[in-house]
Amino acid sequence: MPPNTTSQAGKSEPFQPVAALLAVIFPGLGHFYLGQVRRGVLVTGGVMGLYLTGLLIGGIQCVDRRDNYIWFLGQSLVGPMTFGLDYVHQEHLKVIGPDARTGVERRREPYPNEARDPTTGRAIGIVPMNGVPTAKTADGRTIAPAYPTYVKAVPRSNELGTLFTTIAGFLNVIVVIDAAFGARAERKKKVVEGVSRTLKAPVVGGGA
Amino acid sequence: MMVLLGEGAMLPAYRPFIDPIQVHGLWWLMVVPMAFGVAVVYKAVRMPSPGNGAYWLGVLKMMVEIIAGMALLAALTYGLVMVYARWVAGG
Repeated sequence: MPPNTTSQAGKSEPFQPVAALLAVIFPGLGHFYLGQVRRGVLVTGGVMGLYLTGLLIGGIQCVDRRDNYIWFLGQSLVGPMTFGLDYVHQEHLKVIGPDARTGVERRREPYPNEARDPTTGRAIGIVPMNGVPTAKTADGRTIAPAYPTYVKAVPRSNELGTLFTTIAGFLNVIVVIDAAFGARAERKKKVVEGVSRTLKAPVVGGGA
Repeated sequence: MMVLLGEGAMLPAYRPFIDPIQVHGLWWLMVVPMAFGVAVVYKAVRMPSPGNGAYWLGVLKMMVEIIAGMALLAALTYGLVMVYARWVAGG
């Protein structure tokens, strides 16, 4: 364990930079590092439970730094996994094509009749051939069956998924602060209280 | 397995964590897992001995408080918009 640092007031504070860093990397990891396994399990279960429930409800489209930037900032507080998810979303699931409203070419979600060209990442139309959805890539290959990489926004699902994942991010801020300052202080306090109780306890069978 | 979704668009079957689930009619029920998750994390951080009976009782209590608070806010907002605002507008 690293030595404790001293605060500006001169009072010793159990600041734990490694625990804080670990808590930023993955929810609950900081508490595991501090030896608080039960607290760590509950924190991991709570934060990741909310995060994964959000993804389950809203799908991967909830994490989107291009089209949902403000919410993405909140989601990113869960840790690097949000950036990884966003990378997968942007680079492997979104398509490049003209926007239905503006006509401007951009990286966007696939429309229901579009598949993704695996080599260029561009949107390609799906045409049913003999009852099988088929798409042709830029280099002439045929994909059958071809589907959109994901389904865009079912009403309410997107909002709920985004809300769940963002709340998970904000809760992780509390977890990081606790791992950095509070968790160890609390444990220390409990130990001090225990020692003080032991010292105050009447001595049984002692004396004259 | 394929699913038809509007204008003949064909989609593969539901893929967890990729596609959204249909919760349109039951969206309000989602406040329960949300309140539970918030209470689990908050109480885990705040209570000296998380994981025991008192902890779970605290989680349950906080969960009920969150849901009741949100229901109260919803009722107040409804009253403000549907009753008071209409009354002020003379409707």
